[in-house]
Amino acid sequence: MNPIATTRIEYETYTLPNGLQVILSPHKVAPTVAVLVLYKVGSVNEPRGKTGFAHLFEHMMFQGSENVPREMHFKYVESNGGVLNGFTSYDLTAYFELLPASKLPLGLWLEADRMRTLQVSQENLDNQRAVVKEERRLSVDNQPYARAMERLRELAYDNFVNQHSIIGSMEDLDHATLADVQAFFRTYYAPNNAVLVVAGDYDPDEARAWIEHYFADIPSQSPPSPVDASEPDREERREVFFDPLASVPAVALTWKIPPRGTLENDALQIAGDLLTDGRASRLYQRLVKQEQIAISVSGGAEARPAPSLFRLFALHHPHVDPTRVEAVLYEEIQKLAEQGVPERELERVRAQLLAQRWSDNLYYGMQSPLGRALGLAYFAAFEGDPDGVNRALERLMSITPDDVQRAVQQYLHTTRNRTVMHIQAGAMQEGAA
Amino acid sequence: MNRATPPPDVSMRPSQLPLPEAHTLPNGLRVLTLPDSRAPVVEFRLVLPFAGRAYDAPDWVGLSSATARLMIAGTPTRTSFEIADEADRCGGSIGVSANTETAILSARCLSASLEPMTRLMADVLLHPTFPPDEVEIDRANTLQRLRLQRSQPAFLAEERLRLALFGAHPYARLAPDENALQRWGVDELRAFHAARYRPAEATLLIAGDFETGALLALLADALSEWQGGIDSEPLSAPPLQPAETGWLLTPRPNSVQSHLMLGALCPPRDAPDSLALQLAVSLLGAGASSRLFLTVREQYGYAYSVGAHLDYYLRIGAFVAEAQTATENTHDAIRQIRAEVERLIHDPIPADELQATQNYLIGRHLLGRITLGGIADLYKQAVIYHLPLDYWQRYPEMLASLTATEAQTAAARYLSPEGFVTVVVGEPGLDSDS
Repeated sequence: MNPIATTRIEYETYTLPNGLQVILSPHKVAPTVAVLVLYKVGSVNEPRGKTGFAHLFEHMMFQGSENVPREMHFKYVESNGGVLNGFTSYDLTAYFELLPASKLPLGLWLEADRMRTLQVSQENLDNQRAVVKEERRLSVDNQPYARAMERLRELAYDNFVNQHSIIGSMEDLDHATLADVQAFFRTYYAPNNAVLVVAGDYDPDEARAWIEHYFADIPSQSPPSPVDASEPDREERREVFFDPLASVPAVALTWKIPPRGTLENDALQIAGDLLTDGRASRLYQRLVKQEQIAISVSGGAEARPAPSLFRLFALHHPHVDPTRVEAVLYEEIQKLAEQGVPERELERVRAQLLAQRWSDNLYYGMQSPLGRALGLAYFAAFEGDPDGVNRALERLMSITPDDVQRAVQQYLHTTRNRTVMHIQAGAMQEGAA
Repeated sequence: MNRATPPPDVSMRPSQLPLPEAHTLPNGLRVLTLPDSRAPVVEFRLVLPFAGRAYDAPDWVGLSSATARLMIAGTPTRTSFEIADEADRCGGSIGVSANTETAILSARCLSASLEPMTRLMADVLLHPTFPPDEVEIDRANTLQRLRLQRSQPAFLAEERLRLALFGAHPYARLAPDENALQRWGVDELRAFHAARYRPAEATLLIAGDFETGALLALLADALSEWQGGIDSEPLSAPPLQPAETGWLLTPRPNSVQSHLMLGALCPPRDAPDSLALQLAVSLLGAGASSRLFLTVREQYGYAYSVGAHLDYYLRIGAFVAEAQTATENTHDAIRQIRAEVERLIHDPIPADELQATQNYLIGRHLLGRITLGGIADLYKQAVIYHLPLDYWQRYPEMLASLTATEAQTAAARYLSPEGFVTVVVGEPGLDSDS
């Protein structure tokens, strides 16, 4: 059998009169169901002075709606044997419940109630502001390399909407008000700015009826104004970053590249896999094994619906000059640009693409209803068609050596749009003790 | 129907977890097979019960981990690159890791590549050569990785907690000894492999899309020259009393947060009241409706991530409550965590809260059964902890039958805050409050 054909995700889609796109994808492997609501809003929608707001708002969505008091969202889901979460990205915010199959109506009721109304107080906002500040300390301010990565993004991009971090600054978090919360809710949390996906073990006719009952009369809003996330071309930018928490030095590189859904982005996904995916990858073999200058190399192409970054990050031995690490990275890119890639090497990458599709990761693997739901939702929201999730694999599998070589020549084998950061390890002495 | 109240409740449908079939290969290796074609994938887990860190000689701590890492560094017929490349081409991966007691080889592949992956796994398992240049690269990189790990608060906290709980017992070991790391070479690695990677006590678990008869024949052939057992004393149980208790600060300059770990010891997983204790600890600190989450985070805003869990070793268990909080809130957060433990011990557990926690644990367990890898990992746990193979089939029922009194009694017995280890990784000079 054609190995790609077996990976097809079946689904049906329709739109309610209020503009909510619904995607149903029944799949009866385990008695579990995933309810996912994706809102087309992320950190790109934040103006200056409001960084971190989309993510802080995500926290507020768990703080109470008309019929679900504070704390009860967690309790309804967990006491019924489910798990839940939400996450905020540059371009989207998503909420999900993964529930025992018989509890599907509960998940739909909870999501509809908080799409219809948000009932939060100043006290809730202050509490979640404190929680998010701890999240910032945990994930950024108290971690080696994390502040460097935040700074790298500011340098890599030229447009403010792309530059700032999702978690935002402490100062901006302090300025968020309850009025901001309500305005943001009205503008972005409307059915016509959302996609609802139900995947897993359920009866689609029953699901349709529940969805009609809970979601159909949530009023739509005038669509939010589109964000200009475009990026100008520019020359190379460099910085040395002193990280007092890091104990091993690093080199980080980025290039601005085209958005998802383009041949160039697809080809650069493949280039990223060739260069950094696993111990057989070119950069691992060259920097870690052959030259023995790096401890690890990671990176690859982002797939945002906006100008994206191709990133490389190498942790290197303290005695090695970072400019040497940089030079070897460029040599490997040059090799790819000048000599291309043998078909046989692409075959290895294709086998891994298929394997990733079948991964058992609950968030992106096809074995998991949540993985299926997220795949469908991303393509519906970003490329206008949930079937993109099926075509994308075919698209990636058919990328040719020429496609990869051309994209590398144009976007990576150049100083244009490149950003270089050398991260100095300030905690080298303590770390070695 | 109205929208003001939740939809009518429908109870969870029971789901039957398939039981693996047990086989013994001619070389004594126990093989557990779980054929399941939900995905065209095969998952392998080989549990080597005497090849983990606890079995390193005292002056060679870390050799077990180096052996595990370097199992994929070369064989007489394959270089490290060829091993990685072949595994990728099978749509899979292969790796070995040494844990506290066991070493585990994990592999997966697309079912179309079952034979090449099985042959690759056998070659790696039987014929590692530990090439000198690979050993040197691993040595240099392990030293740097150790520096990196010791710049991370979570690792520093775990390292300090284990030392406090277990003192001189091998369960304290987490990182390699830097002196030993400088000394080992091909001879020590080969000797460790020869002595401790043996089939007689090992179990190979395979779940996924395969035909059992053909797979067993393939394994018997590929692993035929793998022979022998291990002449090893079983590890003694550590004392149920931590080696150190009270305030233990690991200074980390420039920290803006304190990483807190409060710990205590409890009996191992197969003890009669172990499941009751798991229930009590989950009510305290598992998930977003647990007591610690609702007070420390949702009421006081002291932490983003806060929770409690049990870490199991073969001969003992450890209770851990964990949070990261701004330096200035360190003592308040610790006080709240301890107050919640006191409440758990002293106040009766409300029936609805107990029921909610039971449902949560059962539901979360069912979610672990969605994927082939998840099912393989469940049975891997059963093998590691010597649980009966039908343990996970009975788990939902055993959990549901526990009472509030049983949960509270178990908590009161093992979780006394006066006896806690309190590990704090943060600003140098942070003092104990008491």
